[in-house]
Amino acid sequence: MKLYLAPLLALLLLCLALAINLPQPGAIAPSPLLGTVPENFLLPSLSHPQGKFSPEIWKGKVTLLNVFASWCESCIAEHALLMDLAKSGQVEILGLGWRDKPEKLRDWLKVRGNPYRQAGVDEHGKTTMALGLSGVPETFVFDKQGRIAYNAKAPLTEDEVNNVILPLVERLHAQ
Amino acid sequence: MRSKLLCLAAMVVLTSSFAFALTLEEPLRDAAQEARARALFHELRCVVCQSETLADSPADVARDMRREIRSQVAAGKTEQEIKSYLTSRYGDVILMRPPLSADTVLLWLSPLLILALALALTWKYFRRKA
Repeated sequence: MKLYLAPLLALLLLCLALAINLPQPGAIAPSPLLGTVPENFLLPSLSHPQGKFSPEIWKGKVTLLNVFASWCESCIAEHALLMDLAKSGQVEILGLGWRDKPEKLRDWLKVRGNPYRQAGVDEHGKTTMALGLSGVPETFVFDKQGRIAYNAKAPLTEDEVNNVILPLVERLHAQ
Repeated sequence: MRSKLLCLAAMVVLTSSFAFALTLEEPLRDAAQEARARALFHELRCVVCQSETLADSPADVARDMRREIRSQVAAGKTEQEIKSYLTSRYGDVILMRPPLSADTVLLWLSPLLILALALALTWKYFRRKA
C-alpha cells in the first residue's frame, strides 16, 4: 500500500467515527432528569388571579407540561399541534410561560388559542434549574408519581406526538 | 493624536463588551465569594451557545445559572457540590473539561494519538527518502 494514502485513510476513518456519533438536533444529550421528580417550585397562576402553579397541581396524574413564551418564534410552530392534542382530550396539557410577562402571555394565548387547562408564569427563570431547561419551547411528560418520563428540548413534531408521546401517555395511564 | 485616542477608546469599549454579560447582573457583595463564582463561570459551558463559557454567554439560561451559582456560593456550597448540582440537571457536557472516564478517555487521548501517528508517518517518509 502506498504510504501517502495513510493520512487520507485516517481522515476518512475519523469522519466516519464522527458521523456515527452525531447527536440528534435539538438535544446535546438526553436529560439526566429523566425518571426523577423535579425540585419543587411555586409560581403565580396565569389562569386564576390569586391561584398558584406548582408540581402539586399535577401530582397523581399523567400530565404534559409545555414550556413556552410569547417572544418564542419556534413555539408558534408547535402551537397548532398542542391545540389539536388538547381538543382530542388524550392527555391533560399544562403550560408554563418562561421569562415572560403575564399580560404578554395572556394576549398571545388569546390570539392563538389556549391549549392549557391551567398555566403558570415564571417571569424570572426560577424553573430553569429545576427542570434543566436549555430554552423554549420544551415539553415534559410526567407520570403519576410526578417523575419526568419524557423531555423534548425542541418544538414538538407530529411524528413525535403520534409515535412517541401518545403511546407513552397510554402506558403511563395504565400504570 | 486625537485619532489615536479615539482608536484607544474604541478598543477599550469593544474588548470590554465581554464583561457586560456579568456587569448587568447583581454580583455578590462579598468580593471573595464573587471571585469564586466567576472562577466557576469560566469552568462551565453555556448549554445554549455551546462553545461559550457561562462567563461570556448572554443567554437567558446562562443568567439563570449564574444567579443559581452565586446563590449557592453565598450559601457556602463547595465547588464540587455546585458542579454536581449542575451535572445532575444537564449532564457532564456542562463542564468545560469533561471528566476522565471510560467514555471520555478516547476524547482526551485522541490528540496525542493523532500526533503520534503523524510523527510516525513523517519519520517513515523521511527514512525512505534517505
